[in-house]
Amino acid sequence: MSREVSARIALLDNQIVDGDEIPIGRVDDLELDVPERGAPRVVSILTGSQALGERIGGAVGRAIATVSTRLRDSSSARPTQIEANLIEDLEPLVKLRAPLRELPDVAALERWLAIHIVERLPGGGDADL
Amino acid sequence: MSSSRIFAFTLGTLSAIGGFIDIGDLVADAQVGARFGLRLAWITLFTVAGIMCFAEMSGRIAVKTRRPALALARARLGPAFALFGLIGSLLVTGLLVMAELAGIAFALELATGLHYLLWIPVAAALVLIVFWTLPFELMERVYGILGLTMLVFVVAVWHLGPDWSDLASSAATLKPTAEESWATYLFYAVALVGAQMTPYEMFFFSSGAIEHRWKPKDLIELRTNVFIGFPLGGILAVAIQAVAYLVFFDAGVTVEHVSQTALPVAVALGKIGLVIAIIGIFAVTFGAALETLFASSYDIAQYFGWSYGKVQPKARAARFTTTTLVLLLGAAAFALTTINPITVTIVAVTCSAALLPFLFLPVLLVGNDRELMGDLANGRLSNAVAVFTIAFSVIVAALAIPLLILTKGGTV
Repeated sequence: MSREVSARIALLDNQIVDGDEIPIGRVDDLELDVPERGAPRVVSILTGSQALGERIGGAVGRAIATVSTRLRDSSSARPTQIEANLIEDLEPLVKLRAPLRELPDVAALERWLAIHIVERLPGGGDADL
Repeated sequence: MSSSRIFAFTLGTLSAIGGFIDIGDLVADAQVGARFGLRLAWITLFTVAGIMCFAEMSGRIAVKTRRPALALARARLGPAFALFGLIGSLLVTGLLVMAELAGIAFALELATGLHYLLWIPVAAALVLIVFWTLPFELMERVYGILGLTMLVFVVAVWHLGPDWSDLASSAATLKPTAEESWATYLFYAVALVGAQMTPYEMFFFSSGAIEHRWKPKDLIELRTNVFIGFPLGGILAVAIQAVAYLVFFDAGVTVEHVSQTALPVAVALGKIGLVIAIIGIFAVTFGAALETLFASSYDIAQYFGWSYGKVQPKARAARFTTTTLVLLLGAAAFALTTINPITVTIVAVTCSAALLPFLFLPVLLVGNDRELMGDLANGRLSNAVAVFTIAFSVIVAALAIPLLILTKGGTV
C-alpha cells in the first residue's frame, strides 16, 4: 500500500466503478486532511455535480452546483463523498469495494430515476439498488 | 481467414459507406450540386482524409485503453474544457437528431404522400422501439447495409447521360459560378465540411471497438472499414452533388425540401429508382437518428461518469436511459414546431464545423500519449494528416459563424 501515485493522473476526473464494475460517477474533487506534521492525506473522494460545479467555479460552475444542491434532498449542504478506505483499486479505473446498493448517499439521481421512472417502464428491469 | 470472418469484414465496410451519409450530406450535397455543380467537390477529398484519420485514431485509442477518446479528454484537459466541448457537441448533435427524424419523416412522405409532420411521431416511435428492444450494434449494421441502396445516386449519374468533360471542368473550377458570391461559395464549403466530417463517426468507431472487445490484431478490420468504406462514402456524396447539378442547375431550381434530393434519381431511373432512393434515405436517416441520439447521451454519460448503453438492464443505467428518452422526445417536439428541417440541418452542420478543432485536438493528444498508448501511439503519417486536418478545420471553424450570419445561412 506504499505505492506512490499522482492524484492528478490516478484520481482526479477518473471514472469510478462500484464493486460490480458498473460506472457510478467520476472523481469530481478530493478532500484532503492536512495534518500539522507529515504529508497531506486523501480522506475521501467527492463525486457528483455539486462537487464538480464547485471545482469548475465561475458562473457556470456555480450554476451547476446550485442546481445540484437543490435537487438533493439530503439535509447536508456538503457534496457527496466516498471514504478513501472504500477504494479497492486505482488505475485505470477507481474501483470501490462495495456495490452501489451499499452506498446509499452516492449517485442519488441514478437511484431516483431508476425507482421513479425506468423501473416502472415495461422492460426497464430491476436496478437492484 | 474463415469465410465468416471475411463476411464480417465486408459487412463492416459496407455499413461504413452508408454510415458516411446522413441528413446533413443529403441536404448540403444536393444544395451545393444545384447551385455550384461540382465546384465544391474538392472539399470531399479533405473531409474524407480527415475523418478517416480521426476515426481510425479513435478506434485505436479505444482498442488500447478500453475507453473512448473523449472520455479520456476530461482527465487530460480538465473538466472546464471538456464541459465546453460537451455543451457544444450536444447542441449540434441535438439539432441533428431532430433533422434525422425529419429525414425519416420525409422518406415516409415520399413513399405515402402524407405530410411529413404526420410522420414525425411515427419516426420517433420507431426510433424508441429500436432503442428499447434491439441491440444497437445489430441495428447499426442493418441500416448501414440498407443504406447501400443510396448507391442508386451513383447509378443515376450514368443514366442521366452527362457530358463528362463538363462535369470534369466543373470539378476543376475552384470558384463560384457567375451568379454566386464568394461568401456563399465559402459558406457552402464550410457546410460540406460540417456535413461530411461528423464527430459522431469517431464515436461510432470507438464504441464499436469497446463493445466488440477488439484486440490490437482486430485493428486490420477497423482499418479496412475506414479506408475502404469512407472513400466510397465520399464518392457517394459527390454523386449526390452531380445528380443535383445535372437535373437542377440549368433549370435554376434550388433545393428547399428534403424530398427534392430524391427527384434526380426519379428523373434518371423512374419509379424503381425512386423507390430504391426512398429506402436509402429512410435507412441512412434512421441509422443516423440512432447514432446521433446515442452519441449525445453517451457524451453526457461519459462526462459525468454514469453507467451507459451496454449496462443492462436499463434500470441499472437509469440516468443514461432517461437522458436518451428526454433527448428523443425533445427532438420530436422540436421537429413538430414546423421549423424548416433544411434550415436546422444547415445551421447544425455549420456549428459542427465550428467545433471540429475542439473535438479533434483532444483525440490527437490522447493518440500521442505514449504512456497511455504504448506501441499503438500515433505514427508519423497519422500525425501528419491529423495536424493538417486540424489546421484546415481551424480555418473552417473561424469562417463558419461569420459566414453563417453574412450569407443568412446560404440563402443570399
